[in-house]
Amino acid sequence: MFTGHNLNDMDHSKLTSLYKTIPIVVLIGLFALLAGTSPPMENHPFTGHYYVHGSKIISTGGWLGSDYTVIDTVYFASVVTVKYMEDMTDTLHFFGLPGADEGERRIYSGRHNNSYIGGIVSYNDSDYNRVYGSLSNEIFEINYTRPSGRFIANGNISYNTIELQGEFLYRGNKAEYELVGEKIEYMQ
Amino acid sequence: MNNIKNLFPLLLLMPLVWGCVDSDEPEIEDTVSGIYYLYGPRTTVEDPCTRCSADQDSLLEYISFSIIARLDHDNRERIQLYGVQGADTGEFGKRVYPDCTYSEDCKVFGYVVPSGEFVVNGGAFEIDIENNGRRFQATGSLGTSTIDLKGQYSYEDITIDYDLNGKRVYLPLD
Repeated sequence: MFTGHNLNDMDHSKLTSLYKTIPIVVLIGLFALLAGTSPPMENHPFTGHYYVHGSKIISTGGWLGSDYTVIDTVYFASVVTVKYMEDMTDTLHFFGLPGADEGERRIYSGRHNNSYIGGIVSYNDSDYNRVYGSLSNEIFEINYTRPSGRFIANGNISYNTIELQGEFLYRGNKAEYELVGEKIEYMQ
Repeated sequence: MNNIKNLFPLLLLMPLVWGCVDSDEPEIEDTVSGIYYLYGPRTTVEDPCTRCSADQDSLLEYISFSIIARLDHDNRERIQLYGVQGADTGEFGKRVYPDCTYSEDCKVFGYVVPSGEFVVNGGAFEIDIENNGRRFQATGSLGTSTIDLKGQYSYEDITIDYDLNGKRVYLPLD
């Protein structure tokens, strides 16, 4: 037989249990809130889009050890994407990098002309075509060789800035790049 | 007292419901923002054409570059674009913002045409920017995996036409 005293004990016990549950549920709610609002952005400081600017010097020659002749110097700007590889922490993935997977070639009389090529002008989103650089602290090196050309470069990257000196080579054509840039801060 | 006790389960569920429904900002579906790779011909006409061959009055080049598109969540009528040759990037003397070295100083927006908002699967847009006589006009469209952009840069005796196509590139950071 239940007495009023026993009922009060049971209520007290249930209330205590409920009060213990409240913080847990609140935490679950907060977790759900955070999960629902956090953007799916990588947060390594090197990862991001960089607005870069600098020079590109195009030259031809170099056959059998002869000197290169400069045919054009261009000052330009571009956007480069850098991804710090979480699974390969000594590696950076570059995309849209002038001289590597970004470039130009002149066309004369309807034909591609090999006298002016500044970078590889094609892209295929396969791992083979991705441009990777080895990373040591804030220093990186790129050695990217494909049938359509070779791009070698070195530079440094910090929390918001990047610097790069590179050279694209293809059949007696050379494009030397010197670029500096800052990470793009997106509109809110 | 009993009525209050009956409300406890609901009270306990409230934080969870509140957590699932973002009360600060409505959830906006965004399949437009991302990285795109563009390629195609660029035709430069200038007087004099110092880079043209002897028998040609225009310079035809095949180019490739990447751009970044970001949907403006506060104004879905427009997207902000980074890296559009002739607008905020490209050769210093042949873009709307010739001296720009920092992206915030040379913003480029594309506006939906016809007027409205970008829909889930993208849409058509146009760019029309001008700075001290340098102008870049373009029309384009963004899809879930493709992009095309036809544009023209003009300034005094220089006209540069772009006829570009491309695709979206899915890097893990976008």
